[in-house]
Amino acid sequence: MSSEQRLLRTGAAVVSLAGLLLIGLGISGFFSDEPEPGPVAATNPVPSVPGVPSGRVAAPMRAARPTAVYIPSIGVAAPLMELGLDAQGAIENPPFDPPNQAGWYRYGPVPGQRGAAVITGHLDTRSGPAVFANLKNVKRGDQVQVMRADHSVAVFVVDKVEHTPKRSFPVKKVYAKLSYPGLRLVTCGGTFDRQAHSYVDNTIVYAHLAAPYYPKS
Amino acid sequence: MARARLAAAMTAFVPAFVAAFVVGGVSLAAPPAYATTGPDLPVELPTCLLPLPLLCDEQHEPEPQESWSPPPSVEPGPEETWPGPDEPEEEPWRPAGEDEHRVPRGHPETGGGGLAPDDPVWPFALGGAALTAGAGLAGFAVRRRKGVV
Repeated sequence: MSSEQRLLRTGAAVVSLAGLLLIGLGISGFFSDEPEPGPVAATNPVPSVPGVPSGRVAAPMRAARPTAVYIPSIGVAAPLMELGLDAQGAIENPPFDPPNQAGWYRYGPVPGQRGAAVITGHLDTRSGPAVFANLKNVKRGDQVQVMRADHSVAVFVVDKVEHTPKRSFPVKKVYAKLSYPGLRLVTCGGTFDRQAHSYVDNTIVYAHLAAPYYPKS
Repeated sequence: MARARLAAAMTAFVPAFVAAFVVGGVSLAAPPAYATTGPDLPVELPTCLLPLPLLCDEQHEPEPQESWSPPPSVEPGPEETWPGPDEPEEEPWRPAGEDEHRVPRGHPETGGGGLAPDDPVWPFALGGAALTAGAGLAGFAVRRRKGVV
């Protein structure tokens, strides 16, 4: 075998291997660039309320309409709208526009009342990040503050963050009948199924009421 | 020749124009000529004056039978509102009672896919091209080898 032949065969092998490697990396998603979720809206950072005991569960608050939700650790400051049920009996979703919009489930406990109040928000819109784009970064012990129409604030503390497949969404756990005031924040997560046009997972944040704040009258 | 003709025309035209201008200006500046009466003659006032309605002093009240309608461009001011049909007063907010609590079916759909990574096509195109080139090189090597043998 001449050196020219050897060179040709080596070149063919190297080029073919490189092609196979490129295709393999493309399939594995190595070259996919995931857009970084930026801030949805320019909001003034809301500080955490100091001196809130994370382990203590506060007594239920009197009912008042929730108006806004703040999560200082991830920079969320969003207005709240009421969510009901759609024709199929599923929870309604907040609109994509404005993206910085969250909603609370109307046919459940009000945040601050006894039971599991539920707040949902979009992970992203069709073109960019939405209000709960960074909800997966919430950690145990972080505060979630719910402002209410009577100017009181329900300060919740995060117990845990869960990522579950949508096909086994823990309905009973999320909408549980609790003996204490609890809160669940729900958004989408995981990978995006382009055929179903839906994310395959949900991110769920579980929290309990740690401190109620009423305005001084 | 033409220049001479133009100069001649100008020479003829300008004095006439100046004269006409001066005459017109003088006639405009002069006071209007009235047929004046002498101071001895009595001034006769006209007796055929038509009585004009005094619109500023008298307001024309609409007759009881007349109906008044606003002009079409009238719009309510910022503080005004159109009188609408009787709207039911909004009920005060109240939380859902325990008997109204419902557990929704399924999971929330809270994503539009805007953060989902786009799968690039170029690795597949480049990899396919490289595979084709490798196959071509391999075939060329085989043919060269057969030719040598």
